[in-house]
Amino acid sequence: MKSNDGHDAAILVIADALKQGGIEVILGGYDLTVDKFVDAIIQEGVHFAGISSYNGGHVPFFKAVRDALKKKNYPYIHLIGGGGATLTPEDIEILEQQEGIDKIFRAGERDSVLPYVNEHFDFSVVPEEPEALLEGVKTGDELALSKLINLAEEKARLDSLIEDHRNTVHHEENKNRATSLPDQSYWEEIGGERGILKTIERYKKCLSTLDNLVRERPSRVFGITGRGGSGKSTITDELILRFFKDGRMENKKVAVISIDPSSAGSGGALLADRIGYIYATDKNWVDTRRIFIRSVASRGYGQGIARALPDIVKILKAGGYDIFIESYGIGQPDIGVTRVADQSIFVTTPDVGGAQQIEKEDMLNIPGVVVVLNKSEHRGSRHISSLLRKKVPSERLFLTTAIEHRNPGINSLYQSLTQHLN
Amino acid sequence: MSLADIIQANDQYHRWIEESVDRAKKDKKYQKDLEQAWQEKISALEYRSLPTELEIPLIALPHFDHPAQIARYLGEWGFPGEFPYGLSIYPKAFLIVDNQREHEEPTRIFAGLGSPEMTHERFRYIVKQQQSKRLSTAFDTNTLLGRSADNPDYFFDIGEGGVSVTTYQDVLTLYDGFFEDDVSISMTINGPSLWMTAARLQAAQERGQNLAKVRGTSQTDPCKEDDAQNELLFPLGPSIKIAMDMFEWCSLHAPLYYPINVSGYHIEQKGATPIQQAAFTLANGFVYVDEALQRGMNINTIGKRLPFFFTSGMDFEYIALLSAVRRVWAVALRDAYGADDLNAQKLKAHVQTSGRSLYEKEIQNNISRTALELFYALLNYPQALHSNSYDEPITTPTEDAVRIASDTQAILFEEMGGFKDMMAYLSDSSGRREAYHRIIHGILDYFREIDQLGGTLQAKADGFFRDEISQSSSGYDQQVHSGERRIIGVNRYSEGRKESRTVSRVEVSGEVKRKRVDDVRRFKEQRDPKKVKMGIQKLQEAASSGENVFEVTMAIVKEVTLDEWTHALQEVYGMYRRKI
Ligand SMILES: Nc1nc2c(ncn2[C@@H]2O[C@H](COP(=O)(O)OP(=O)(O)O)[C@@H](O)[C@H]2O)c(=O)[nH]1
Ligand SMILES: [Mg+2]
Repeated sequence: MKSNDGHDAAILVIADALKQGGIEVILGGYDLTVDKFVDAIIQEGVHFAGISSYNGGHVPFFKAVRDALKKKNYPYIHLIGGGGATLTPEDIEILEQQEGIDKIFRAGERDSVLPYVNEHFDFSVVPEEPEALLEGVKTGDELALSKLINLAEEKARLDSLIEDHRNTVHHEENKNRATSLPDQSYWEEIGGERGILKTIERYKKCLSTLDNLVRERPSRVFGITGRGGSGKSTITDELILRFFKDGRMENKKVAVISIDPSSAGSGGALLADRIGYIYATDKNWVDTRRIFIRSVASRGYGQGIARALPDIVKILKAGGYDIFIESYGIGQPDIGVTRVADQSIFVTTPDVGGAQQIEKEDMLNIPGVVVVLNKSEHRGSRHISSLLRKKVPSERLFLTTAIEHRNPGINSLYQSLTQHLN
Repeated sequence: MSLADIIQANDQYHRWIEESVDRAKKDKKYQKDLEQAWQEKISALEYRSLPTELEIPLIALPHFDHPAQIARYLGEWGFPGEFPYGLSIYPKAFLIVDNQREHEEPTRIFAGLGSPEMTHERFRYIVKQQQSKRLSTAFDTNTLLGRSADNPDYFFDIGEGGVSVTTYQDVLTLYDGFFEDDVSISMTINGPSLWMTAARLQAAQERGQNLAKVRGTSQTDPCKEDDAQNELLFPLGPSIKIAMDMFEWCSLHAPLYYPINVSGYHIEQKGATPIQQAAFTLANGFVYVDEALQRGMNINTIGKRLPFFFTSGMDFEYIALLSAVRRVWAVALRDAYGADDLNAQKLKAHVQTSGRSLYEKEIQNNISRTALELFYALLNYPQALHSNSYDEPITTPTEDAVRIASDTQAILFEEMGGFKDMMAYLSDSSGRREAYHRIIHGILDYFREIDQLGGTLQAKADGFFRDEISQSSSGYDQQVHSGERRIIGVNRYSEGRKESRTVSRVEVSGEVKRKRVDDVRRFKEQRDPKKVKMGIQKLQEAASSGENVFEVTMAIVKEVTLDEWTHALQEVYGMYRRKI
């Protein structure tokens, strides 16, 4: 979803309604250029893309997006748009009839977005031939990477369904059947197709062929975790900015995998981290051709990560990327990211509570974890930092104020994380 | 000063009123004094004869049977023009006496579309319709975000919703012929405000105007950007710092110019309730006061140079919102900050009718909404007033709609009996009194909460203002959606209504946009690249070393364009992080 200017209230209302309706929604950003919007669509591998526009100038903008996607051969897309009443009936007619925009919603029609998306959503649009994507992975083609990641997520979805099925069967105390695959009727029941299993089998084979490539292309994986709002996105963005200013990283590529929780009730999710990466998505600051950002919903997997994460990491490693994983925390053992990351970074803030809270924090017991006390400008930070010092050696503890540009704490953090990189 | 001090000053003032009312019930001498003072007011009253031959006094004074009532009236409201300015900061305000007004009519009409040439044309048209020459400028998104019109990525946005300005030449063109002492130019711009203001002041000088006589306003309210609009170029800290650079510089060199306009309007448009609008805007105002004090500026100078900007909407609170805000401010300035110059205690406010209250459906109903909002606004005696055009939900205002909007004001001011005939004729009505007290209370409650969060800036950094506003916004949405909030012709009596689509949209043609690109390119090419480079270097040095960035901007603005200025400073300060 993209907002053409600062009027983001309507976007958030629609995004929330979609999330409640079980859809995974990625916020693409404000005031995007055509290029940035198209990059986001491709990297995120989305099926629907929406544009909200309040100023004039939208007709050519929509058209340019449609043209750019066509040029890049993007297969899935369904483009929808909406905005204020500055979209006149004449505009809407032009866009829908001539410019290939699938649907424009007018002011007051926002309740019809979710039904529309439900009606037009097609689960079966996954690439048929995973093998054809391998070449693209090698050359770092973003569309190929993205399609493969879509398959990784699809596989994870099916794995979960199978697991759920087994658990139910297990529950019925029929242990023999629990090891077998669900039968055809089950697949029909959950709305999927048996045929997709074949594609997934081929995907698995493809993934195993990536092993060599991964070995050839050494890359580092940083896993950043901490509670929502602690500053993970801000820190990630600041680290990436430094990465691109760092002469040692001249030919390196960076991928960000950003995981946010799915809503337990609806299964939908609102993935907003992309908006927080202001430097990482701006070509005035970084070489955006060397950045790949993917937002991933946890889909109930737990531990602050998603089931597909190891596969996604593997695909991006094969693509030659150094990787930042922004995991999420809700205070339960959220340590999943430590299993896939070479270096884990735990972000906390002065408002976490007292000594007891720190004592209970699992992340602090992970060997080698780097601890960041962000929002350190707060009054309570001295107290918490002294508590942390008792548990974490000083070379692995950083006090940061990530909202401050060129913050010395972030500088030290960056130095420390990259001291062994070249 | 912390908000706690301001709360304390207001609480104390409240207690003082109660004590003086009590005293007026018992103390005979005090009773005499009050009655005498009141009698003097009454004897000083002037009378006039209306066209209908009815004789009336110029100021509506209530009838009191007991001195305690006088004590309360003077304490709570103050006589028009007197502390705590609950009624008005001026004694006569909009009265027409001898066919003249003490203060010019407050109409301001907003304009800005396409190229500087197009907008300039529009300004000339507007000025012809007005008695006083007041221009108000809207800029396009590219300009507001510090981008050049020749940036190909944002070609579509050129001139949409406001005028496109990138170079010093653009500013000369835009205001050509308006660099005069009797013209006041206001500019709705925040992030790039220093560049724009510098260009505007330099252009005035180049056209022979003395800086000491230049009048006008730049919005430059980074705090409210962080709360609502989200269109800053640099993080909040440096944005405030450079705004204060300009504030300080102007107080010395352009003393009639208002470089900052503390704006609640956008906070309300984003979804804030009236009380949130009042509380957050005042809190922002105190941030600027404190920053200016830290630079060693005098509180009386500061108070006089900080005008405000509020909404008038359909909600009941608007009957007394500005009155309440004025009182909290006046008490704070006098009793907490020690401002003894009366002009520094008087909060000057520009009020605009609420754009959020206008709807596309049955679009002409917006004329009525705007008229009623103007009426609420006028009961509070603002210093300047803008009425929205009814077609704003769908387009940059068309000429017809602009005319209706300004005529509506004139009808209220000049045609209708009331504001022109008698000062404060509804001012202490019981309805206004109810709203007034509840609003003051609500403001102080918010101050307490903000203070507990560590003060205004910390509360902002932690998202408090935005969270509060966004909650109110969804609440409002829900109310409209469910019909609890009745919108006539939209969710009420709307069956069978047809979509009203009688107005056409103002378009910015591709040709205009391409010409903008060419003009900007040509300007950039014709400069001496060495001078540009040196200018940028000077700017960055000033920013890194903490010098006055506005002063340097004044020196380089003729060469360095808006986008170059923006980039140069972003390299030093970083970019603003929009909040969700
Ligand atoms: N006060 C303060 N706020 C910060 C700091 N770092 C980030 N924030 C703000 O905290 C909020 C959440 O940050 P974000 O990076 O999105 O957190 P995440 O949910 O952990 O990814 C944002 O509004 C940031 O601007 C900091 O050092 N101090
Ligand atoms: Mg985040």
